[in-house]
Amino acid sequence: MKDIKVLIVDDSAIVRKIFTEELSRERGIQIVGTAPDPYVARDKILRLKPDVVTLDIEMPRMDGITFLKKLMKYYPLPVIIVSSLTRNGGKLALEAIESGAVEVLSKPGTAYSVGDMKQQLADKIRAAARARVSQREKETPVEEAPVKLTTRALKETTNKVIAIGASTGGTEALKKVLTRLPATIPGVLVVQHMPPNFTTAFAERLNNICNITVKEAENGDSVLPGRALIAPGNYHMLLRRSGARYYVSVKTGPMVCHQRPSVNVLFSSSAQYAGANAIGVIMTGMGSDGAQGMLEMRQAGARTIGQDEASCVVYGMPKEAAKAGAVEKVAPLDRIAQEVINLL
Amino acid sequence: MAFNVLIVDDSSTMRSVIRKTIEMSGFDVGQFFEAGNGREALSVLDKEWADIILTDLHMPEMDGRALLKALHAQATVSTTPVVIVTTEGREERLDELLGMGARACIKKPFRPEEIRNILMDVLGMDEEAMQDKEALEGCDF
Repeated sequence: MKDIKVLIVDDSAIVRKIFTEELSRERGIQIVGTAPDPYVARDKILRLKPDVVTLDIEMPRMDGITFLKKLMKYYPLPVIIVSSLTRNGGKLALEAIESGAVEVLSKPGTAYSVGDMKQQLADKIRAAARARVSQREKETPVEEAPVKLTTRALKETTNKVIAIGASTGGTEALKKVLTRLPATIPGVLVVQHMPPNFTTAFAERLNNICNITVKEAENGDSVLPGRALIAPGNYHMLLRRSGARYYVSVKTGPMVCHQRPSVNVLFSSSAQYAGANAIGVIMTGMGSDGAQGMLEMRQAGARTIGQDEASCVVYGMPKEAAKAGAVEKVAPLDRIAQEVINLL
Repeated sequence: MAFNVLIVDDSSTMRSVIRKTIEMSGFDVGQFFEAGNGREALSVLDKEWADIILTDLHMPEMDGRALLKALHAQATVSTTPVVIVTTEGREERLDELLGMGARACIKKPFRPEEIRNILMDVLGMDEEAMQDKEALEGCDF
């Protein structure tokens, strides 16, 4: 396979230097250039034709979002957003994803060591290089509350739990699924591979546009109908049960499949504590996180759905889950909310 | 570092005068794009990435004011700085355009230094920043 050509756009010379040094040692990745600002970046994109661009969204003069919007219009290519771990950085990162970026990454800092960062960045670059970028332009706006649950269905479903895992392309995909769920839906647990604070901004954003309540999970939060809990960045989220009450345990621990939060961790705990009452959904993303956990769910009698190849930004995690025999039903993104309801 | 400039004016003579003046000013231009009115400008912007737009006010089909409005309605170009180039002298008219989002107004005829200063100012590039950037462009990282 040809090397993935990467251009690094960042106003900090230190970040450019660290990224270049760290990534140059990664097999299959070639840093073709760096740029300190959007104007130089454009020149280099035209000249060097990178496969993937990493972009700092907090830059002087032309902000990263403006540059990104123009880039996606005139020379669409996979862009990974690099942002600080601040609250505002999280909001900007989300806006960037809505503007067409495929991945977000936090700058090295307290939450991640340079080693973790390097691994994550390399993984994200490989995922981004496989991402379908043009697909985003064709996306249609989300329809308003298209589905209704009957009261009968609700009565039968109070002990159900819906566990969803996603990575690259997942923020936009999750938005499509969660906005279509009615307020009567059983409790939803979501793992989206994302850095801390980005998940906070993500949960807030979803909460504003969904019929259900969306909250970044805190340790001990109850799993309640009409509420989705998003695993916070840098922590695993596990389903637990105390009597008739489901709740989540949010805790640190080693990365699983290079990820924290990991979909496998959520799915395994769902298999263990909800068994046949769980519904598992595995969505767009690179890698194999979730496959093993979903297989455990399936073996425990849970119903499972995998996103189909055509609607995935990167067809990785659902593919691995399907290969493992964990996926019961394959569905396009537009149908996933409905399929979940059908399984209740 | 070069900037792409879109010149909007119904007179082709005026477009080339503006173009030559900018060239003479030493302002670093990547590409020049030209349009004869607002509508043409929008179709140029549909395909080409402009960093700054210089527009006349009085033009057939779509004038500068309507162009300014149309630009603001489009996400990708709403933040592209617009400079009004006009013979219009009335302050309240120019103030209205600035209120609508135009970043600067320059009266015809103008000297190369004037336009250079305005373009640099609108793009947020002072002399010092330019030197920094030039130094950085030579860097490998």
